[in-house]
Amino acid sequence: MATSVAIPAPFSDNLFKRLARLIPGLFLLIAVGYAGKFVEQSIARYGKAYHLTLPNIEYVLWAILIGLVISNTVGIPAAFRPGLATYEFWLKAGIVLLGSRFILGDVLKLGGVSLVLVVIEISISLLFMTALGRAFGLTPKLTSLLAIGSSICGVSAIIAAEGAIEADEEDTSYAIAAVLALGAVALFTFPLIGHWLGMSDTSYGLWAGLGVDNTAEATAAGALYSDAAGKVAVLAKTARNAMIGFVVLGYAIYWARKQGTAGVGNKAAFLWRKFPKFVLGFLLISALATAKFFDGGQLTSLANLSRWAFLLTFAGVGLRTNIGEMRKQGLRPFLVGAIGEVAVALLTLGLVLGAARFLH
Amino acid sequence: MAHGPQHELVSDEARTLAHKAKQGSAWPISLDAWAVAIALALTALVWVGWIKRIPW
Repeated sequence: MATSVAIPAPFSDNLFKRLARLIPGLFLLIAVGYAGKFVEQSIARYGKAYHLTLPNIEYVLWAILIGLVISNTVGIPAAFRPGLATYEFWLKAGIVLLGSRFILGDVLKLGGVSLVLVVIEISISLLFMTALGRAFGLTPKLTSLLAIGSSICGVSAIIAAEGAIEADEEDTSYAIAAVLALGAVALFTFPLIGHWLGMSDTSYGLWAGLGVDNTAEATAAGALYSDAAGKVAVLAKTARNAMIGFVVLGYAIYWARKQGTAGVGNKAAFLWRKFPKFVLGFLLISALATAKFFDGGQLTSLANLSRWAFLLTFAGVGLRTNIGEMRKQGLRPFLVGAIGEVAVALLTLGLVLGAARFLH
Repeated sequence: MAHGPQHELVSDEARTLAHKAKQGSAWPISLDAWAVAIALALTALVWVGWIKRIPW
């Protein structure tokens, strides 16, 4: 009798198939992002042609809104989803390229202030979320995941912690759902509150970077306020992301001791594995720009490349936000997340307003 | 005693992300590393002059 033997496809073949699956969603990201830019420019041209003073609504908001309309009306077919998920790739590439718009001295000054605030924010919010999770009777690991997600960087931090503390899939999905839903709410409430309080671009950008969980939503919330606020939001969020390894390591050691399982082993290797590498890319490009490695035209090109990458990110933020799906989630994890988020937003707002004199 | 929210619903996206996190990445290189590599490659192309101008 003939036996069938599964012959693994060569890696290049697999790679080609995987890349091909990205194409439909990638085209959708480009189409939605470009539509956002087209609407902004069309309104500006119309106003100029007819001498009308029309509100200047940035492409960021249009791209998110168009994505939201598509996602919540016709929906996103399965064939588009792998490509849509690349928005996180474009976000990280965009952050690295954004380094060209920063002088290293500014990065160190603003990043230094951000790091101090980040350490205070992380310490208080971890303690607060842990107490809140216990009060609401959530499982200890779900509480840990929610605390990590809301204090550092949302979904990425939860995914980084999931393996390290051996959380189960159920807890991980609840924590991710809460962070995603609350990120979408923060995206629109932060700019409104910032304008209402009359915050400066720097103060607001810092607040968005410290207070909004997911990097994509923090970048978008900053850019919705102004271009300058968007830059500062990315810098503050990057400082927050840089802490991910330390917090996850702390939780991994805590859970290993509590469960009596094998510890982390090589802590330096663990930290390097969890460290977001795009932070290093951002610092490298910023250092090169500071050393006058690029001329004016090249700096403009790099800044524009970063804008295009962010355009795809903002389209992805809108396209992946499904209000119907957001309603389908656990009430208690959501409540803990929501109360925690409001507390973190108020805490970071107080910190930023307190640090305002060091920012200018 | 702490009790889990097993009987509550959760969004499909969160479930998919959690499932992928449990399984690990199918890609041999992390998303982070890819993003940095592509950004640095584009920067190099701009620097050597192969990409002359990126309009906005």
